[in-house]
Amino acid sequence: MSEHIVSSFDEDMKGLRTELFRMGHLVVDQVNSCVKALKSRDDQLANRVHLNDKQVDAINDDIEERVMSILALRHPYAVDLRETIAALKVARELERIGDLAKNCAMRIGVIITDDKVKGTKKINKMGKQVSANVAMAMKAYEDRDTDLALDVWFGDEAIDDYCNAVFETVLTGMMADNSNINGATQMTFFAKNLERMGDHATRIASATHYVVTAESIREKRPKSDRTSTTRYLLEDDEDDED
Amino acid sequence: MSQSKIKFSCRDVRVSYSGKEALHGIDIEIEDQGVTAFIGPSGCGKSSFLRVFNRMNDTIPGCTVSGIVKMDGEDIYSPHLDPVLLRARVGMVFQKPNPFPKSIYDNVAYGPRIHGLAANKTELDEIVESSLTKAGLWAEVKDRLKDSGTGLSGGQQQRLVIARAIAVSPEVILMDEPASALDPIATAKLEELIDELSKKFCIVIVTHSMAQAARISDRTAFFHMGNLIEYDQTSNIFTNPKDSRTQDYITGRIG
Repeated sequence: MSEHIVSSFDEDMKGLRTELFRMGHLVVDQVNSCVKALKSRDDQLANRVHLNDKQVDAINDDIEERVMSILALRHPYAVDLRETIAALKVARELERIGDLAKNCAMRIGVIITDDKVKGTKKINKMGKQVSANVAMAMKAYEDRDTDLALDVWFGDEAIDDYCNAVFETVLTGMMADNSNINGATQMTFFAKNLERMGDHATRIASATHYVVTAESIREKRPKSDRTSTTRYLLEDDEDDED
Repeated sequence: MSQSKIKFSCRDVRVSYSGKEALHGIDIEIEDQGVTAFIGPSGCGKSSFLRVFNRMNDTIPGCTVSGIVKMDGEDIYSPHLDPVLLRARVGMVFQKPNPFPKSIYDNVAYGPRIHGLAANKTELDEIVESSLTKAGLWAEVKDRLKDSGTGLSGGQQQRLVIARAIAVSPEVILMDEPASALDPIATAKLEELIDELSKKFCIVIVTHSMAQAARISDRTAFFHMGNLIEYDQTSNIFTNPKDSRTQDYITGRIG
């Protein structure tokens, strides 16, 4: 894309882009750290994620101000308008992912003190997948890569499948042994938060598509999260029903 | 594009000044309803093209127009067509308000008089009042109709010449940068008027203000170096232009 005749307009757009990418990197770090903190049972790292969320919020406020100023002073059109609007959308999604990461981090303390919670391996895998999808969504946005954005869009199904699997394992674990209810309950929230981070990543992917093509992703997003409607049964119960 | 009735249909329209071609074969259809805006950098040919629709180019020495321009299916460059009558059907408003050095009343009454549109003084009064009302000027001038038109403010003068154009019941109003000499309030009033007039008249406007084209037009045509580059719904042009030259122009990357 060539430069604007008014170079300060270029500077405004560049500043907005730089801030958004910075926010993206920070949020990807937050998600990575919270997944890592759970896996390595690192309460201190979890605490750091909690504290860092203020930075995410501050960048979000800054981006909102920049967008407002560009709209008011530059009257952007076409690709400039789309990029300005997309920045607002993406920042909002990142801010929510940041909140969810913080919320996950707050639950880690309880989860790691409960040795008997089931599903640790599955949630670690899920966490890795969500981290990867959020990072990929931001990479697609930075590179204006619509193919990669579509990968994020369709990749969300795997996250939903992980979420179902974690719920099943954790809930059946609770039914079998109710002494782990504290940690297990936090674990289900943790998984649900991860699943929602994945959803926000798909919206970032859609924003990428919008910047490039002026249209959001039209394909129907595959949804396979069944956690809100499924009753998980103990294996014995299943046997009884046969 | 949504299709209303086609008012003008142009095929391979070329305009030359002393043999030098300024417009290189324009094909376009202008819809009867709503506002069509022509945008593009200075010298792109948009004003030359606007003048094609009421044969104002005929009055410029050395200017030739070729191609086919049909209004409601009728060739307006046919030798059987009287350009004076055409200009009554296709009115024009210019960048600089150009009221006649006559009274406000006479400015508006001028056209109906020469075209014999009023049978008597009462009918003429009615035409003057309704034209000034449609142009949003009646309330401001009704007590001083005998004052000179040139004594009005710039914005009022522009609305006066619009009233003068409306007075002969045209079908089309062409506007060549009608707001470029007006302050923001007078511009806002003019834009509100254009919106109102577009319900009754086919309006084609040339504007240098991208924001104005975006605000008031339904369709936008982008001209560049004598060619029509892109023609689409205004909302598409300003959010998702298809041609990179359109994009570069409206985003301020080329002048």
